[in-house]
Amino acid sequence: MRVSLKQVTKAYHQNSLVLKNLNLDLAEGGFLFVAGDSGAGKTSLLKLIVGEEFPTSGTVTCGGIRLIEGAGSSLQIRKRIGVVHQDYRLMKERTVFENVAIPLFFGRHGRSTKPLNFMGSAALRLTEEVLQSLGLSTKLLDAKVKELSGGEQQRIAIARALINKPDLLVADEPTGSLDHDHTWTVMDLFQKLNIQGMTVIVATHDRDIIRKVRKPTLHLSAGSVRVDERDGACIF
Amino acid sequence: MYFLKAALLGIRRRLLSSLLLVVGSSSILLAMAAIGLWSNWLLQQNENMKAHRSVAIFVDSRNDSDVEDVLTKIMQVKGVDSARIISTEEFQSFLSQHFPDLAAAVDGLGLDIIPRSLEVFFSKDIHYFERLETVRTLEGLSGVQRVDDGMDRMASALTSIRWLGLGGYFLLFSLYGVFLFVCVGHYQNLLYSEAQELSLVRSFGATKFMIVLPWIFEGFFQSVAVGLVVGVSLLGGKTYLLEVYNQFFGTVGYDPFHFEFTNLLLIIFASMILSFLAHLFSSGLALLRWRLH
Ligand SMILES: Nc1ncnc2c1ncn2[C@@H]1O[C@H](COP(=O)(O)OP(=O)(O)OP(=O)(O)O)[C@@H](O)[C@H]1O
Ligand SMILES: [Mg+2]
Repeated sequence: MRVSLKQVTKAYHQNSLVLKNLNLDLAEGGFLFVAGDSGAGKTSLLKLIVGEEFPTSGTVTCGGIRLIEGAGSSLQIRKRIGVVHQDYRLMKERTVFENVAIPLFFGRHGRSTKPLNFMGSAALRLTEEVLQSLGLSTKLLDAKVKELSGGEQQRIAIARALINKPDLLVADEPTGSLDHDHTWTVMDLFQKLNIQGMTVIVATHDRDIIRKVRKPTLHLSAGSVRVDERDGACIF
Repeated sequence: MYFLKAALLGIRRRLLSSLLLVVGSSSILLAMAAIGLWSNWLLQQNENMKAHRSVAIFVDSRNDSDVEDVLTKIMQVKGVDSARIISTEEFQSFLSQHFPDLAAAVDGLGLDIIPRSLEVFFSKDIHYFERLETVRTLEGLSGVQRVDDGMDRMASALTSIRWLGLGGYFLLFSLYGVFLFVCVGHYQNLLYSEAQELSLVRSFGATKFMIVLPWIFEGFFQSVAVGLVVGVSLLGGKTYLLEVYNQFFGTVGYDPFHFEFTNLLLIIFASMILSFLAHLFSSGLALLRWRLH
């Protein structure tokens, strides 16, 4: 899914700009890292892309649809985006299965336009698959999320973002709580899915990841932008 | 089905508040049913009394043949449907039932002083003026001492009963208003306590309809429960209710209040529908008022 931002400025308060005149054009199937210090605006940028926040000025377009506050059009786009929130946003009192499978009931799956009628087994099978691909045991299915470790919770959040086979994955610090091995399980999976056609945007602090994965990186620092362009997928 | 399951889960998670809502709605609907029945019955009585009015005629003699003479004369008057002689025993029992003190005094004095009377019924479709005319004719008959019409007294009683009945209906609507208010509050709370989860679900692309669907199911289950509670309570409280009603109005000479099985079914059904409508309305309203991106 193509993502483009034109002259985007975001300010939460009148005299503090978080993002200033940002231009970004990520082609369908592209991969982008967003880097920057704490408070640089990484999360803000990702929220603009998924339509959770809206720019103070400028335009954000995803999959050819401009995201406008209050317009129902972004609803269709959301079904095609998988989001990993920095704070996970899991339903802690509910089971792993309930958390991971929930987008299946509201959104859509893969290229189909309608939500599939997931009666029990189909949803279960997909959930098991995605858990396994993230190195999680299927024994966790019936555990409550609040009983899991931080790293497990983070991977549950990633599983939920991926279960719909989205066209665009937006992940905010998806490896922040993971050990080295699991970090690379996740990053390898992202790269594999990217090769299969999924557009990926990952915000991270981890210089090690950025160095090894070698993809275009957007460096944010207090309103200004520096770009490392490593392959042609990204035009600023 | 996911939405059905979500509704059941929702009820389970909010068991206490769901139960409270069911109990609250049932009490309100029960009160509504009681008031509705009562108003309906009062207004019906009003109609009945207009239709079947009768007068009492006192005869100036205590002689049986004189009384029968008067009876034949009465039967010939235009506008009279039927008439009958009231026996002294009947009169006495009426007295002791409605005016026990007086009856005791009369008892002490012996039977002789009890006046002889007849009850005269007018034709069913009699007009007000024809009726007045008939009463005047009856008053003019020889042997008739007094016609106890009490039309004016009755007329004022009838209007006040009418107002009472209409007031009952008004109360009915007000109670439903209260019910709606409670329901709207419930969904407002729900929205508040589940805001995080709802915006999450929203972020997966859930439409408002998808969000409200489990609530609709939940409202449906609750409404069925409410209907059952109302039905069982009415069935249980039936005898007591009837006793109270009839104590109040039986003495005034009204028909005893009765309560049929079809009425009960109707009330159960109406309770379910009213409750479900309230749920639909309030969940819809809550969602409309909620700002979603
Ligand atoms: N909802 C909000 N209201 C007001 N200010 C906000 C809001 N969200 C973020 N900010 C401010 O915007 C700036 C950028 O925040 P943002 O969360 O985008 O940073 P970040 O790069 O994701 O940081 P971190 O690496 O710590 O997650 C911060 O100064 C923050 O205080
Ligand atoms: Mg952040």
